[in-house]
Amino acid sequence: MLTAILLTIWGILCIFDVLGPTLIYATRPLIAGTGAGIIVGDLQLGMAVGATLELTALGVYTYGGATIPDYQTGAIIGTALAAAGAGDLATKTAVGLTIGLPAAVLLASLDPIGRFLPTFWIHRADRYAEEGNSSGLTWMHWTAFIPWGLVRAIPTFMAALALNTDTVRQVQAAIPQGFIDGMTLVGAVLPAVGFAMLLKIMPVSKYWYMLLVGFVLYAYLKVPLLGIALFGLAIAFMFETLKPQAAAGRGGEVSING
Amino acid sequence: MASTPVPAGGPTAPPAAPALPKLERSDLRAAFWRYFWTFQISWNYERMQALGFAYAMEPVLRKLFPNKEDYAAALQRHLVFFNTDPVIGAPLIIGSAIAMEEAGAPASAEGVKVALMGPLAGVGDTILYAIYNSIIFTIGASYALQGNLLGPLFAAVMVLVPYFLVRWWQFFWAYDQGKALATSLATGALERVTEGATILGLIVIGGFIPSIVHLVTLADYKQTLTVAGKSVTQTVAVQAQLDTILPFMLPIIVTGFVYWLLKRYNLNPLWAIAIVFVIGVGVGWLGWFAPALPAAK
Repeated sequence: MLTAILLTIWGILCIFDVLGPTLIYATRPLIAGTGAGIIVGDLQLGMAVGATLELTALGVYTYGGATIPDYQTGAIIGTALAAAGAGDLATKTAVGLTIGLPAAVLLASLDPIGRFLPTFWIHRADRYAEEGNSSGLTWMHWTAFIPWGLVRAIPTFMAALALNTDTVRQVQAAIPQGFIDGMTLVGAVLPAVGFAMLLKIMPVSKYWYMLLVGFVLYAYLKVPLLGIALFGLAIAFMFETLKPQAAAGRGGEVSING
Repeated sequence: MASTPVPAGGPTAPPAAPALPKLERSDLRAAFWRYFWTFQISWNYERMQALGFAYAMEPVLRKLFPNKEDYAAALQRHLVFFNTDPVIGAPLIIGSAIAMEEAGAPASAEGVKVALMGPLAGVGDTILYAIYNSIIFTIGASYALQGNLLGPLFAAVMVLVPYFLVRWWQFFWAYDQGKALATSLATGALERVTEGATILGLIVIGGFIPSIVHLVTLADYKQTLTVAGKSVTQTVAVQAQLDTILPFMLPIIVTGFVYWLLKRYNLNPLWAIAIVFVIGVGVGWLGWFAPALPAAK
């Protein structure tokens, strides 16, 4: 029960973090899963489930307020339930992914509720603004977070309650080994979807050759990822520095004298 | 960007009221911290970040408008629809809106909000999430998969410090720039930053694909050769053959295939995940493919 409560509080903190201060981007599955791993006492599992989900969700953010799979809750639930299961880290990670990924997709249907309900709060805020009532405005702003928190807290808490039963082990026992092998493969290949989604929103046809630079650095020269990122930074600066200054750039200032 | 409308009665309009009170640095900090801790907690479909914006402006407006009616009107002015990138964008717009309210040009404050929120949302979202976050979280995840706690910690610290600095700096810079802001942004700086970030992003993704997507085939075939007059049957691993042609060929093919599906058919990413899920479980179960070759027996 204590674990369930802690996981729920963690879930609320995660969504608060990203709506508010964004200290550690805790709704990202890597962070949410790692936190859940610490709470359930299996850090390695939390990191593995979180990292696997993270790589399927690259570039997936709520642009313009769009609803995306609830990877945060998926990572927390997946980690917590897999920790109650049996087997080695790879098996538990596959179980966590089997639970976490569908959970993230299904729970996306709750997200619009959390985004819709604060609409009522803002109409109250309109009235307070009209009266020049600043404490009323403050109250509306802070309490409008409640729907946001609840749509994540409720499923997290309900799933975490299952931790105290044998259900997880029974379900896991019913999963054949071949499926676990398949899920392990899926976890290793799903980042391809993440990268493909990133590429889709980038001008690949214009700068496709930049992909080759990174590929050659890794595949042939064995440069670590951080090294590739630093090299990329240097190339980006070079590209922008060496490029002829666009004539349109400073036009506005010059014409003032004319 | 070029068509940024100059708000009617802009910077040169006579102040509505004589000599508004001056803002202290502490007033600005109060607004910044309100923005920082809570900006999007009341986000909603109807007006998105409007209440967060008004809440951040409130301490400043209270100081500027001692008259209750002016204060109420100012609060309502900043409760209108607003949405931009919360990290690259919002602090800049809040800072310059404060400068304009202080200058007695509320119409300019409204103008700058409308003019900048769209472009900054596009630039901010691209640089921050698609590129910066993808890089730091991919690196963090790859360490985490090796069981290294430094992975998540790396990602967390790379959010904690740069995110704070970029917001703090933007907010006060925009306030100090005041009216000069819109012109200095329009000089093409934003496009250049976006282009540079795009190049960085593509280079990094080029390295990420082979290092993060793990897929090899376990298939092999029997080959009968005639060596020195004797017939020899040997088992040839397909993966070894693929590696001699191009390393990491399968991860590239899969990523390219998914990209093609998304691009060509505008497929919902959830369907792409479902397809990978079904095919992956199938071929993994059958033992045709695996994340890595089994250790040599």
